[in-house]
Amino acid sequence: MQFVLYELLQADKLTSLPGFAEASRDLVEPVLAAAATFNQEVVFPLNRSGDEEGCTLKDGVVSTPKGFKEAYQLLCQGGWTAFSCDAKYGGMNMPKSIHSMVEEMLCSANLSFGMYAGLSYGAYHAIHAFASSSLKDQFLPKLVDGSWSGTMCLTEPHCGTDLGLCRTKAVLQADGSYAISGSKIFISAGDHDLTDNVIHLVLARTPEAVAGIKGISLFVVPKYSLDQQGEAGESNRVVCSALEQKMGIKASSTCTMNFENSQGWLVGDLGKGMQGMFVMMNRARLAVSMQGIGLCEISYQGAVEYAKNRLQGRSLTGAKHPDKAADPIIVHPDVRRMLMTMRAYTEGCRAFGAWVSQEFDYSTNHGDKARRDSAAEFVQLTTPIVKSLFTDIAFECTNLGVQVLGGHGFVRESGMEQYVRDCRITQIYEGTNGIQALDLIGRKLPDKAGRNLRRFFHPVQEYIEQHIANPELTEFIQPLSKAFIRLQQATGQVAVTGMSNPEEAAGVASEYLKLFGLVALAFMWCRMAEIALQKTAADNSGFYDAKLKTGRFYMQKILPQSSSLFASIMAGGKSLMALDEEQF
Amino acid sequence: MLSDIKRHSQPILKNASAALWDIGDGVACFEFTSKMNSLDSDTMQLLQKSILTVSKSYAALVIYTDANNFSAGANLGLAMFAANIAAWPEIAKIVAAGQQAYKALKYSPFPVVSAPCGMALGGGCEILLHCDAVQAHIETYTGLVEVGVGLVPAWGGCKEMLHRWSTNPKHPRGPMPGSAKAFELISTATVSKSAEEARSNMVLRDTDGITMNRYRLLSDAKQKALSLVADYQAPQAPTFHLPGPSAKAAFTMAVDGFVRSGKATKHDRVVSMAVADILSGGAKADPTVEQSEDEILALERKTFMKIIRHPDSLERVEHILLTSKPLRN
Repeated sequence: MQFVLYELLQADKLTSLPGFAEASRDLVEPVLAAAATFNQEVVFPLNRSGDEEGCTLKDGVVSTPKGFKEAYQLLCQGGWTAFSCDAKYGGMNMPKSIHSMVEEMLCSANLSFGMYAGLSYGAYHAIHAFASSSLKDQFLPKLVDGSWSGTMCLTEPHCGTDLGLCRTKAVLQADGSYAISGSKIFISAGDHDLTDNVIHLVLARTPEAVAGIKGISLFVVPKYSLDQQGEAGESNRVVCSALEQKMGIKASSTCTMNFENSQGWLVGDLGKGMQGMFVMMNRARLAVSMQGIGLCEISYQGAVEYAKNRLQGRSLTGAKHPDKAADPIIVHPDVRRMLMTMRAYTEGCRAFGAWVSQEFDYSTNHGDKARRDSAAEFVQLTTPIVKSLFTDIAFECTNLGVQVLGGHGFVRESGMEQYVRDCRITQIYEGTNGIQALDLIGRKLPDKAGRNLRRFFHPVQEYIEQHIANPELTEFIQPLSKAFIRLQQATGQVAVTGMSNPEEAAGVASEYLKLFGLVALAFMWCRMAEIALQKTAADNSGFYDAKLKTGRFYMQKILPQSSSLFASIMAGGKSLMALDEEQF
Repeated sequence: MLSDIKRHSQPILKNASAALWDIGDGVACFEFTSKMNSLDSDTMQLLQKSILTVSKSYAALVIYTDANNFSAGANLGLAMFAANIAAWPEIAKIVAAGQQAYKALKYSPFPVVSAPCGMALGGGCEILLHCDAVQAHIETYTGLVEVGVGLVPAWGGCKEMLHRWSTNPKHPRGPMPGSAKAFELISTATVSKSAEEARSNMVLRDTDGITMNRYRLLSDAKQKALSLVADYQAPQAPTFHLPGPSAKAAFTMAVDGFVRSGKATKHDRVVSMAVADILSGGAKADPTVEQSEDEILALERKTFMKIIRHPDSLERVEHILLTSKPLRN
C-alpha cells in the first residue's frame, strides 16, 4: 500500500489540495499501520465466528453475532467511521484514496462487519451532498461518530435494476415531512444492534409523481424519531420483518424493511431521487471494488501460508527440502500458477483502484475546475470497470485460494470457502456486473462525444510513446502496447456497432469491460515495473525484485487473455441472440 | 436530378458512404450518401474504386448530390472518437487516404467536374479544389473552415490554395503574396457566401460555371464534363517556391495583432501558427529551393497530426459536435 500510494501515485501531493493539508505521509503511514493492527486483532477474529453464527431476528429485534457490538464500539472510538467525512460534522477529512486502503483492510478482515460502516458512509454522502442544512445538522454528526448507522433502501420485491417501478409511497404532511409507506427488500444493515438509530435513505414516489424514474424522490427516514435533544426517541414504525438467509456475508443483516406511515424528510428535490441515489451508488461501487481487493488479499495470504507449510510430494526437479518428509506444495508449478495469478491480480487491482480513488480526490478537492472535471470524467469511466473487474477477479482468486488448499479449502474450518461465498454477492449488488458493462458501453463511452475515454487512453498512449524505446522496459511495454491497440480497435467496434445496433454492442459488453480492465492493470504493472527497475539494485529486501517478477507473470500469463477477449468482441453478439425463445 | 436516374437504375458501385451512378452519355456521377454527406474512409475508398471504373468504362465523372448541402467535410464524430481513444495511426491513415484519393482524382485520365450547392466546407471544399472544373449552384457556401474546429486543411486544401494564388496572373508574383493570401483565407476560415464570392476567393476559377436553377445543376455539370472530354489531358503536377520562416514570422505578427485587439483567441493563434507552418513551406523552406506537391502534402499531414493532439483543438471539435456551434477558446 505504501508503494502504491507514495512511489507509484505520489500521494504526498494530495496535501497541496484544499482540505487535505493534514493528509501528509507522516500522518498517513501510522494511520494505515493502526488500521492494520485494529483489523488484524479485533475484526478478523470475528470473521469465522460471525459466519457460523449469523444474524438473528427475534421479536422484531435483529442481533448481530457475538463480539460485533464491542468491535463496532472500538471502530467508532478509533475514528474509523469519521475517516473521510467533513470536519464540520466531526469528520477527519482524509482523502478517499487513503480511505480506500482502510476499506480494503476492513473488508479483508471481515466483509460482513465492514458492511455496517460502509453503508453509513453511503448515507452520509447522499445527505451531505443533497439534504438541507437542518437535516445535515440533525443526522450527519451521529453518522460520522458512528452512534447511528445508515442504509440505502432501493430494492422492492418487484423492482431491482429497474427502480422506475418503485411503489413505496411518500405523502406530504402538514409539517412539511412525508409519511412513507412501503416495503423494501435486500436492505443491508437494515436493522441491527450496533447503533442507537438506523438512518434509512429511501426511494419513494409521491402521489402526484409521474410514472417511471423521473417520479422517484429520496427521503431520509430514521428507525427512531428524533426527540427534542436530537437523540433517538420514539419508534418511527420502521420494522424489520425478515432476514434473508444467504450464501455469504451471513453476519451482515440483510433485511426486509417495512415502513408504515414512517416520518421522513425529502433529500434534494422532488423527482430527483436517482440523482442522490447515484451519489451513494457511485461511491458504493468504488467501495465494492475495494471489497474485491480485500477478499483477494486475504485469500492469497491464506493460500500462501498453506502452500509453504503443507508437505506433499517432491519437486519435479528433485527434492527441495530433503530434510523433510516431503516438499511444501509451493514448489509445484501448478500451485505457483494459482498463487502468482492471485498475487498479480491483487497488486494490479490495488494500483488501479488507488489511481481511480486518487482521481476521485482530485474531482472533489482540486482548486482548478478543469482538473476537477477531467478527474470526474476519469472516475465516471472507470467506476463500472473497477466494480465489475475487481469483484470478478476476486471470485476467481478466492476460488483459487480454495483450490490451493485442496480438500482443506473445501471444509469450513480453514475459512477459505467463506471468502468464495462472501465474495459472490460483490458481483451482484450495487448494480450487477452485467449492468456495469452496459453502463460502460451505453453511458460512459458515448457521453460527451467520447470525452471520458480520453482520460484513460491519452495517458496510456503517452506513456507507451515515452517508454517504447526503453530496452529495459520492453518486456512490459510491448505486451501493453499490443493489448492497448486491441482495446482501441475493440472500442471503435463497440462504438460503431453500438450506434447502429445496441443489442449487438450489449452482447459483447462484459468482454469489453474485462479487456479494458486487463489493459488498465497492464498499464499499472508497467508503471510499477518502471519504478522497481530503478530501485531493485539497491534493495536488499527483495520487494522490488518481487514486483518485477510478478509484473512479468502478469504480462506473460494473464494479459494474453486480451487476445481471446478481442476475438470474441470482434465476433459480435449475433450468436447470443440466434436461438428463438422457444428453443430454450 | 439524380433521383430521376435512381428511379430506373442501380448504382455501379456503392458502399456505406457513397455511390457511383451511370448518368448517360458516358458520364458517371459520384454521390455522397453518408449522414450529412460527411466524408470518411469509406468515401475515399469508393472514390478510388470509382476512378478505376470510370477510367475503364466512362469518359468523364461528375461529383454531385441531390441533397441541400454538398458536404460539410470530414466526419468529425469519427475523428473525435478516434482522437479520444488516441488512435493516432488510424487518424493518420484517414488523412493520407483523403490526400491519395483527391490526388488520384486530380490526375485521373478523364475530366472531373464537381457540382456543389449549399455547403461545401472543409473536405467538401478540398474536393472542389482537386477537380478540373466546378459547376456551382449560385447558392454555394464554400471555404476551408478547418481552423474553426482547431484543425488545418490536410486533404490537399493548403497545397491547392497555395498553387492557385501563387499562379494567379492577377495577383503579385513571388513566394510571399500567394502564401499570404492563402494564409488570410485559411486562418480566418473564410466562407464564400455565394458562388460569385467563391470566384474572388479562388475556390472557383473564372472558367468554372455557375447555375441559377438548382434542378439544372446536374445537367449543366454533365455538359461541362462532356465539353472537357475531347483531347483531355490531366494537369501537370505543380511545384512550389515557398517563403519559409520569414513568412511565418510575418504571419505571426499579423495574428498577434488580432490577438491583442481581441479579434483572435489564444487557440486561434496556435492553429494559425500551424497553418503558417504549412503555407510558409515549413521550417527549412527556402524560396530558391523548389518543393514538390508531395512535400507540401507531407507537411499538411505532419501539421494536422500535431494539431489534432492539442487539447484545445479537441475541445473545439467536441463543442461543435455537441452544440453545433464553434468554440472560441
